[in-house]
Amino acid sequence: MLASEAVTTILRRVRDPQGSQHTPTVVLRFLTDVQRSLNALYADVVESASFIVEPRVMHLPLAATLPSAIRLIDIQTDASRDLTMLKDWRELALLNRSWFRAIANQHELWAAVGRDGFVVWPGVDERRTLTGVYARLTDELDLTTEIELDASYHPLMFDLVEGCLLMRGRMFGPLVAVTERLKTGFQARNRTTSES
Amino acid sequence: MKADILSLASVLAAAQSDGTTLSAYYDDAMIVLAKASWFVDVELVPLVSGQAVVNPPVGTVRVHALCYDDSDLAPTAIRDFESLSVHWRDLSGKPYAYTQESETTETFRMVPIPTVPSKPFSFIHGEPLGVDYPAYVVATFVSVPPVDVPRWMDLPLAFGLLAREFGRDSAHADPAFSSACSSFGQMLLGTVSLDAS
Repeated sequence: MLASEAVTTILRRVRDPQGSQHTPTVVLRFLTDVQRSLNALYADVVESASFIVEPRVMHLPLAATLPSAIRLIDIQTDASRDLTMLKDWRELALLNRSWFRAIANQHELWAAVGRDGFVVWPGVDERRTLTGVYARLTDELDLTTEIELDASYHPLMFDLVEGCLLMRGRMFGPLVAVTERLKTGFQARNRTTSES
Repeated sequence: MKADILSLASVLAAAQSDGTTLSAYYDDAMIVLAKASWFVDVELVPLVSGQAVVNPPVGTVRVHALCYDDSDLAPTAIRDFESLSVHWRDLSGKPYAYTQESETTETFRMVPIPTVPSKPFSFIHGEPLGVDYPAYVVATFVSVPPVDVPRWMDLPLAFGLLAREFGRDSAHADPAFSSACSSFGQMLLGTVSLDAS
């Protein structure tokens, strides 16, 4: 769906089809931010890119390594082998008290360290290329661009942007209904995500 | 970028918010997110012979791990050291644990006291971990409040800041708006509360 169609739909919903209270620029800004936040939560728009790991380097900053990544989902070796993901990087210390210096022939595990970094473990003695699969920072929308999230996310997107506009206009009556719809929508989405 | 988030918050609030207060709330939010382990840095600290006390990097709000040379040090309570030896502060050797001496000083004492000075720092392949990792240094895994956050966080953070701004007692207090911002922020950001109070 084109962003312009989304803008029209949302402005109709808040009874401002001419955009006199909320300009299309404002709606597009909310749409852009909502799309990015939802993609950070649900990782719908993903891409992969390779990156180089220097000898024995384990801790890598996310933004410098994969600039358009907002959340790392998987790391693969050049032989398309998936590294095992650790939920908590502190578990590395349970595996090996010298984890930050451990050396082996190949990387085995990876773990996110905060939201802005990750470790690949153990270190290897030579420079290696790995491939990161990640949720991407979606582009800034303008009227001619397509919404990148899958159509199944559009109801959530529209409700969130509608909520932003109602909040902006201090229209709390209609906002209550939108908030309830959003709670149900997020619950359903979380259920779908956990099942898949 | 901080400026982008404050500008977005102003658009959401239809320019009724106080920019100075929002800016202060943004700084608070960075501390809250750092404490919630959203941002983790690794910093190396060089030691001289006989130095047991380590100062974490400036601005540290949370220490996740301290590593000495090739060992991940175990966080240990002072009481536990006391039960091992009344002379625990004087023991020397290769550290295996650390303790926070007091909350006011926010420094860490390694036990036993290391007797070897750190090797010089020389980073060829990249720091802080890797082939250049100097021997006998302390690696600290800490959270320091960031200056900027990833761009996907603009909207949830703007909601969080507005929830505080319009929830406080002021000439433009708006509990309904504050509550709506809070619930939208929670939906997008998860369970982290940005209220630093």
